[in-house]
Amino acid sequence: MILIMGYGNVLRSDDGIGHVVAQQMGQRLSQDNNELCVYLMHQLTPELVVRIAGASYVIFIDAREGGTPGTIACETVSPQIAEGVFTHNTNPAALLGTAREWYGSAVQGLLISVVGASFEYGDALSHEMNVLLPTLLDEVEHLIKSHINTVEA
Amino acid sequence: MSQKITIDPVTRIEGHAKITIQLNDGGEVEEAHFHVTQLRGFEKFCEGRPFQEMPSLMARICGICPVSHLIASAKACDALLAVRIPETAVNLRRILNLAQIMQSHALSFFYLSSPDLLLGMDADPAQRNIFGVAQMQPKLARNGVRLRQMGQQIIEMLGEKRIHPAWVVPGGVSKPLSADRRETILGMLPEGIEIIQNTLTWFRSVLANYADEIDAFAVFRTLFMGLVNKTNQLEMYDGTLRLMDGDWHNIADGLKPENYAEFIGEAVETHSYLKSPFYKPMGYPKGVYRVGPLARLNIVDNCGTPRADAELEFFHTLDSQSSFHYHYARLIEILYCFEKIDELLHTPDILSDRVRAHAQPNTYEGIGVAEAPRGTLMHHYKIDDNGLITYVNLIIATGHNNLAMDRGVLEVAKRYVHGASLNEGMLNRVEALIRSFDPCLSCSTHAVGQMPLNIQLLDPEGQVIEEMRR
Repeated sequence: MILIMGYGNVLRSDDGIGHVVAQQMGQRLSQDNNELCVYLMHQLTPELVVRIAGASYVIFIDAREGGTPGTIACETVSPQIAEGVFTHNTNPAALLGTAREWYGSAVQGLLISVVGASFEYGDALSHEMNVLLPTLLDEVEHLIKSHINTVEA
Repeated sequence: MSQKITIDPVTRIEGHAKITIQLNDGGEVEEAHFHVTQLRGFEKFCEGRPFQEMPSLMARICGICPVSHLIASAKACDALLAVRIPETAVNLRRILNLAQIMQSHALSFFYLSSPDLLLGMDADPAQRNIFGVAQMQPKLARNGVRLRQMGQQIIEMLGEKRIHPAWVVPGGVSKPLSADRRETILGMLPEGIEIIQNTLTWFRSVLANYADEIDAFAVFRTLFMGLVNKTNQLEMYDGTLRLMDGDWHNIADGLKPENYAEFIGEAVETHSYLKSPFYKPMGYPKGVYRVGPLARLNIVDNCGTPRADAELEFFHTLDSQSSFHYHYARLIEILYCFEKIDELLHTPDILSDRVRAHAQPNTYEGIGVAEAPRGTLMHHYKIDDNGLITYVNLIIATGHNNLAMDRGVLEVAKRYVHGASLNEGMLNRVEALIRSFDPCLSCSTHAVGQMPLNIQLLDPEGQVIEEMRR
């Protein structure tokens, strides 16, 4: 199963870009992949490890500050042993590491982050991000497809 | 020379607090206090807002128990509307509240307190977390995560969001439960019951290992308060308030929650932003009482569900005054939550689409009370002719327990802290006492965040003579 996890605060304008992109990717990619699941959340929490452990590949989509709005960064997530209290929030590497450590999962991960233009209060994307959105979605789709194909090959 | 030890902040609790321990000239504990050092001011900045916004605003008090605030707030708004909400809406709210209690208890027991229990109070703080637990007992750690996930999934299936759902509204809920979601939730329950029953079996088997802590963790006479139903069974959503002492004597029964101001006083101490509620007829501070899982199980005749009642029978043989038993009570309540959700999902009208009563405000004052994971939660609002909030008073579970926590810190400190030699183990026991109450300071005064432990030994002039940091 491929799990697409979009996260961020949808009441902080472009911080919600992960939700928008994940939903769109779900629609675009589900035609070619019937084992695809989209999950949206405010922030990453430890309990997600149960869901992640059952997936073969997880694509995390998040917003990022700093840089030119609409810029996309894509990196493979290296599993790490999580540390500390681990109650309210966590990160992709710790979730993958915990999935491996606790459940013996071989899940792989990809983190796609998109630079937002505005993180002010607001329940919609900024105008600037809305203008960039069509191109951005094509780019993310291409990225995901190429990574999935590489993994499957 | 007298000295003061400060534990600042207390870790693995929800929020931010510190503990000070005053030593006398002989190096023994003379006084100790639990301080809450933040203020968020929800009661003040909600003034002027339309009352319909209150449930969603109040849910923002906390990311752990937003559902509890949502429910107490919506009940206060129901009172402003002066309507009787549909029975299906009541039952759906009950399920949501039970799922909230389940997930919060799982967090408290497995994530925050089980490291103390499994790894020991003297273990290295770097190891004393859920990962340390996973190394020793991987199944226990996985089960804790799974139980919390189940509670969150049920919340999400009902309210669409795990955190800050907006589904509970004045007059009921915004959307009925669908048949497929009911089946999905029902399908999860057997696994949850099996997990929690196994956990209870394990916990009972190791209980004797904590005889020292059971004997030392806030073992003093207080009252216990909580909601009960008409037959004095465990009640998380409605009912009347009951106060009992630790010897099963009824102090007050059938108290109407909306009359809380007649029997609950709210004292303010200069050392804390957390209010100190007390039982008025006994005065301050003699009217100290405890709320939450320990109190709830101490005041009920039974839970009303078979498996939880079987556990309760043994629970009632224990020393009901020890706050250490909050842990055990929490586990029993998780079991109760699963059983009760199952029962509620089988009520005939649970899929009815009549889930909301619509009305304009019909009174100027509304009070909503429900049981939150940590205890009785009270929301009290007043509005003007335009439905705008003019007054808010919140009494949060952690606040009810404030006086008891303060006394508990003194008791544990007297037993374990001796000025001549500071060590992690004794200081962690002081913290662990607070953790047994599972205080949510985010709710009660309203701060979030966790930081390393900092302990200072101060002389009477405030000079640091010894300091420990984690």
